[in-house]
Amino acid sequence: MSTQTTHDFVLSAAVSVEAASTAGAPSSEPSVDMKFAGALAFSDDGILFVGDNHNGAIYAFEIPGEEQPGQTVPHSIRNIDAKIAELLGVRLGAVEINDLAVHPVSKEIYISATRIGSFASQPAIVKISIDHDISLLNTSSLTYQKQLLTEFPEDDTKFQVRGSGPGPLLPRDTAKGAISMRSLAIMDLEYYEGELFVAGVAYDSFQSSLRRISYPFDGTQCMTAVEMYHITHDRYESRAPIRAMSVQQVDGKPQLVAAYTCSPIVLVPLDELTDGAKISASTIMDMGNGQPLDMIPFQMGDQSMLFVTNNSRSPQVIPVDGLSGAKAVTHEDFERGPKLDLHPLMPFGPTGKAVMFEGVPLHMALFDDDFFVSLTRDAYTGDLNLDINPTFFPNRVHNLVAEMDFPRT
Amino acid sequence: MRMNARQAQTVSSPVPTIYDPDLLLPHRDGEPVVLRLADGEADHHPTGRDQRLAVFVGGADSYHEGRLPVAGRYEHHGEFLSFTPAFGFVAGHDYVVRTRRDGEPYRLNDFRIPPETSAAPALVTDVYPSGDVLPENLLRFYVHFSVPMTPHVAPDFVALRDASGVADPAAFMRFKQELWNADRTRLTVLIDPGRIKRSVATNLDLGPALRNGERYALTVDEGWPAADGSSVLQSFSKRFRVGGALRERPNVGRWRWRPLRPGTREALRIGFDRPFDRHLLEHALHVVVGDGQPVDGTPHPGDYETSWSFTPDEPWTTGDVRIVVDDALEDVAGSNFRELLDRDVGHRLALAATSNTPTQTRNQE
Repeated sequence: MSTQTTHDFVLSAAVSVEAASTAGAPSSEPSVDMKFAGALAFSDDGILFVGDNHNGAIYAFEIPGEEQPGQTVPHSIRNIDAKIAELLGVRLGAVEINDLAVHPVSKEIYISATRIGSFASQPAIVKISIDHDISLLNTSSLTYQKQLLTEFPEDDTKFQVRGSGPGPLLPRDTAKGAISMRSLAIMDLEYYEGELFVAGVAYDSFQSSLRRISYPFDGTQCMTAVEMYHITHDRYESRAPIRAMSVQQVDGKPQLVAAYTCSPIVLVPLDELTDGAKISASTIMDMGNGQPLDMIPFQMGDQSMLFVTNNSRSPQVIPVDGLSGAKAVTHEDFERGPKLDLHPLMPFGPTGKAVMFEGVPLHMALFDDDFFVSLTRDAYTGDLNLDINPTFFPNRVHNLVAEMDFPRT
Repeated sequence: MRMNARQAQTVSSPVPTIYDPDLLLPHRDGEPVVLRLADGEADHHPTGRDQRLAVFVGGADSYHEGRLPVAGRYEHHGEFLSFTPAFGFVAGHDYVVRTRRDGEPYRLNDFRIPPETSAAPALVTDVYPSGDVLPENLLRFYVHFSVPMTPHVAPDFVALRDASGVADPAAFMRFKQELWNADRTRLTVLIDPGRIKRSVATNLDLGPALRNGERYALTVDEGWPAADGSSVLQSFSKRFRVGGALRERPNVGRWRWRPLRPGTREALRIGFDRPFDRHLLEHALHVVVGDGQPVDGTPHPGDYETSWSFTPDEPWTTGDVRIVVDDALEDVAGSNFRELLDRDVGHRLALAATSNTPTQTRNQE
């Protein structure tokens, strides 16, 4: 690193001029320079990983948590987005909620959000204590590490505008052309046995990638490009990223179970994730439609399950047992051509069952063995609520009226 | 249709605003809310929220129990308790401060940070380069505005016109993103390098955007809305004549100055060999003495960016000073001390052989 060139020449006895280079000049970084708080994940002992799609970095904050004595039960909080807006000092429309996670020890709930100001957006992480107190996480008081991601897309690379059918482009179609590809560069984080797995888009050539980073961060990272066969689209896809994932023991080894938009689910053995590799994931199922949001492992009785939420269909409960021995399919297994929602083949593979869930869960996380917490938009009021959902019956049904709700005579 | 069984929201009856004489309200973003504490209260050291002082979004008439106060930092300074919001206050929004003292009902005080830009009309304040004669291979203009401007519409308003007023629709580079500074008061407009670089396709098809000896104007049409919508721009025009191209790298060997007089605060003034980029010039020159100790002072670019003066904070201690020049400093044609934006393709080899060695070094050896 040089701050001055060695061409130190004298122009006159009195004043001399020399050239200096700006490259590599030392910068004085503020304590936490986070620009966006997106995807969240906790390690088992309370390291909070935060994906910053703007800076192209993962932050790891040490949040020691004390175990709560006795049974802790989560509570619903109505209008959670309005409360977060109050806390951040803005009106309701100026807050976007990005993700939700639960501290594995203290059971505090963490929500990543964006505060939209007149000129700039700012990141915020909001903490909800076990006794309901909603506060702003002061990241500058925490010990943290930061890992910059290599091959991060340029900020000015945007989606192409393709329209949504015949007819002229609508404003909602052209708006897609203003969305930066970086917003897809960190989609989901998964911590597993001392390593952080990061799904998203890499490079400006838009490659769906899986990054593998050991924690504590040592500056190194391994990146693998992932291709998969998309049954619904009948094509091999290597750009659209994994949306939600979970590491599970499948066929006797740890594998990433990964869900894509519209909406295959694939398996990726962890031992294939080596730096620079380009791999083909094994497609084992396809829902036929929808955009997955979260994939949450949980126990239902003695059965291991995955709870897969989606912004356009009911959550799916997938038995983990059904993934072992599932056939990996290619284009040779089907007649050619797209197979959309109504195709008799759909849903294809060991997809489990859709469960009744009134309203749309924006984000969900497992609170403990007995409860999920969810950010759910109520279908009647439109309120965004922090909700609780039991794991033994992972539904949301309280607004429904059935035979059993009528008075007994 | 099913009615939703929703609890009626409990809203307290409107509370009259009661002025708290011990409260100092902020007038601009970044200022804290400050409460003067009564005797005996100041030794109380809160760490987080404070029951005595809390700020809420919305006016006093929207306040009710159960609202979450704005997050921020509470600090004690003697008899004062101050609150600074974590993210600042949004100009134009209503806020209400609730103060509460032992044994007294709480008091509510409204405040609103006035929008910073409401008073100033939208104007073009400066255009750089500021000279009346600009080189044929000029690379960029900087257009400075009095207030933040609405983005994404610049091509509708900014134009390069010839002497008869005809706009050249292909003069400027079109990017997906306009080149603004952070608060959108300075727009960078680049002449399409394809029109500047000799013998590339656009240069051959359309010719250069600026021709030696001709007259032009950079115009900004009226009607461009300010970012806050409070005013629209008045029209602006910068007329200039085009002179010869700058085809050589800048040469500090041709810079001129007068000897300094130690013991005075007389400005050091350097005359350049050409006009430099106004924005890069702000941070590209540094005055040092001895083995590199910086001299504090105030720089002033001048003479249409062809000179630079520096007034030291303290009198000069020596006449023997050095000027450190960032070799990324560009002239108005985009050439720096390391390379030219546009190289004559016929002399590629000769230039490549010297491209890593600043010419000024060779000239002085």
